[in-house]
Amino acid sequence: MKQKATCLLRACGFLLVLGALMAALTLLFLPKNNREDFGMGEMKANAILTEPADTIDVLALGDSECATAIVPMVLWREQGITAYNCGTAGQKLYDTLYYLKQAFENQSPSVVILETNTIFQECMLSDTLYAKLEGWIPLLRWHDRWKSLRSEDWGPIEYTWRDEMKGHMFYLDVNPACPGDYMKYRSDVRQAAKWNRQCLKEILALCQENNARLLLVSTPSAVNWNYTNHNGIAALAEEFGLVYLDLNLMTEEVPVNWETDTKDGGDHMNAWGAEKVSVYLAQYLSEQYDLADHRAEEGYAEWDEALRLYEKAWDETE
Amino acid sequence: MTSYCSLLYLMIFLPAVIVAYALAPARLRWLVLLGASYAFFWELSGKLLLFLLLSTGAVWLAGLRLAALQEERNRTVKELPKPERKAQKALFQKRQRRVLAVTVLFELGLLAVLKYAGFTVTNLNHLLAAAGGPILPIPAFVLPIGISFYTLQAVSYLTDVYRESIKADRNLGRLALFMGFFPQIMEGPICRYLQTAPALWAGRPITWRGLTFGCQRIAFGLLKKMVVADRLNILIETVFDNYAQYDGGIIALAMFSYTFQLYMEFSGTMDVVIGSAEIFGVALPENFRQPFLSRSIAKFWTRWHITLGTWFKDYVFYPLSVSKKLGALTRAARKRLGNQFGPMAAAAVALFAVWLGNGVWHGAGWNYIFFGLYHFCLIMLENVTEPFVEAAAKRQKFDRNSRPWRIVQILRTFLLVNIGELFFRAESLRAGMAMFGRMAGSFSLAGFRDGTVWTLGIDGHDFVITAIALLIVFFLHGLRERGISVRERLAAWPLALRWAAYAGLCLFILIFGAYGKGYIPVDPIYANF
Repeated sequence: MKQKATCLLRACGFLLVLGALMAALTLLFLPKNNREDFGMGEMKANAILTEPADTIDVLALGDSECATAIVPMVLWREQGITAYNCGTAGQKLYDTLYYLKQAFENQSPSVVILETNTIFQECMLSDTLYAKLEGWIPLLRWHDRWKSLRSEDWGPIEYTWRDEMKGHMFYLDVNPACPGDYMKYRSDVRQAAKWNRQCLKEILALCQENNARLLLVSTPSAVNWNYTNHNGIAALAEEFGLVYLDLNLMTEEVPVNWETDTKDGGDHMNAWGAEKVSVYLAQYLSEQYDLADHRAEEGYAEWDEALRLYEKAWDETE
Repeated sequence: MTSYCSLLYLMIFLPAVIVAYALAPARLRWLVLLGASYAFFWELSGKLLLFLLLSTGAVWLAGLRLAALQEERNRTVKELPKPERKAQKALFQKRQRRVLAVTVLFELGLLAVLKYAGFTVTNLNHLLAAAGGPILPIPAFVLPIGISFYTLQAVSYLTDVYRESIKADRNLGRLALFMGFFPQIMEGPICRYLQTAPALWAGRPITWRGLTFGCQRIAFGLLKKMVVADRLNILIETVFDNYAQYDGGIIALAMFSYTFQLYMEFSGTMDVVIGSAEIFGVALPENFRQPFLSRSIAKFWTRWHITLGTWFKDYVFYPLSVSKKLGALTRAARKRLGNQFGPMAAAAVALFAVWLGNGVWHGAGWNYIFFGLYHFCLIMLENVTEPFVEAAAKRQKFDRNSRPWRIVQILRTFLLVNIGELFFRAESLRAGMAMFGRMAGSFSLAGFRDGTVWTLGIDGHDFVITAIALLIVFFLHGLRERGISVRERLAAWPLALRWAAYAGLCLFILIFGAYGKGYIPVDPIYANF
């Protein structure tokens, strides 16, 4: 018995020492800047780290559908809403949870938009488990930083890289689509994967904990969306008591022209399509949520400059 | 759960089985292992578990039948006068052989249909097309996980019962556990009944030593798999999938990388497998013994995938060698070719069967058959030239055991092994030939000078860390070759030093492992065979 206790104590002791070493290494490996050369991936989404505290009112999350279709600068131009788009290519719901947690550390958005395509991204138990482990042991997320370690890594964290597009992926490419009646009514329902449902619950709980309202939005995509998906999300929205906007069905409010408004044959919105989506969202958010118009407020001049740069980006079309 | 190195296996499945095993009373521990084994199989292959059950049932029944025949023979023969005994024994032998043949054919037939039907029909269609005949639909079956491994175990068990080197197991549970023990079901090692069945059944308690040694072994396997094999994956896939775009130098780099990857993946998985079994007090046979230190191809195959090599030796080479027909052939060859080359020519027939079987076992493809026959040719060449080389060395008073010569032999063997693995990994035999042609015919280092090497998915840091990991692994292999047990030595170190070593290993894997975003780990290579 005594021997067993000694063994157990030794195992715990070893794990404690290992844990301490891992914690120390985590401090070293955490990127000290959100620049690429500091080993920070997903630059645009992580540029939210440089936004002044508590200045973002609307946070958009999701995969590339979200990143391309929701333009924070249009929300600012139309209604003075400060928004940030943390959409990333192929974002899984556990990534969404990570970005949401990261955003809540410094920001207090009152509305969180979740683009729904990410709810149908493939998600296995092992992925979810790994994401959880990454949350508990950040060294797992940053372990590859041994390649980009530099002298600044011994110093404090200082994020400097800002994105004037506020996370939005801006594309002027036009590749028309012939979507046909891609939203033809169907009664069957696509079910979200078990682990995605679990993640969605955690996202909702986190939003509630931080007094943010979660809004589900399906941005127009003739390639990725259909009525079966719509039914699946509508059922989830009902189950969790969430508001759901399917812009694929709102053809009057968001009159997407599939000849001109898609960058890749109906998969993603281009700049023209994103304008339409965002103009509508700006109006909807302003009407449905109590969001302040910051345009005349002091301390938001940087947003006007960002808007100027956004409008300048359109110059390439001329 | 996709492999023994997956998070689900290492963090959920294995710990859960360890806890259940430790809590279960000793007499029920085998049941925990059997339940876990079938749950593992179900997770990977679902309803195809039926094939494993079918194979187990067939082997169990056949074993009982063989035992009954042997008992009956013993009873009958005892009562007979001596002159009649031989004939009676022969009669029983024949009946036993029939049981063995039917069951082995059933086991191999299942494997053949599931694994080779598509390949066979595809090739048949080529012939039919050439003859203007009809094209047959190509069957595509999903293989139950580990069928190539547990089928060989089934054959070895039955043959051993037939040979009376073991007794037939009347306990279906024990036999089922021998056939389906979860750590080895997917990639081996291919065990013999006596190597594992008694230990699996014994339900030995989990000891501190078994637990720590098992975990160390698992960690060492993860180092090989995660730091080297997974890191090299992108380079290998890039070059092998687009070989026409690369010059001979880059193809050579991919070839060497693949050999290292294959070794690190397979032997690393074996470390995880053997470590897992060690925790339950089961000593699985080793599958590798420093293969890259081999001085000849024949010796290489006594150090690489050892349990497959010994299986072919015991159940193909040996029975063929002692068969009457081959005996007659040996005598005839001895007359014509003399005492030195005559037996060699006859042995070549058995050796050919072994290597053809080895190639075919690895997969349904001409490149695998080529891989087997390539090694057959090399071993035959070694056998034929050996007397001349020996005589020449004697004449020149050349020490064949000198260190420089040993190094030359090791390097030569390593190069030949790499060429074989090139064909093994290639998409097809044609692709393998084309890659070899580019490498041998138009070798160039331009890809290293013009920066092509940096477009293969891994950077300078990756190359450096791969080299360091390989050096660590081969240094430890060097110690093992000298008979030094690193784990035993470590266990004798003072606590602080020991912890530093273990923590160093864990952190090395955590930091330098190729996992997470940006990496695609290599699938278990041998699980597909």
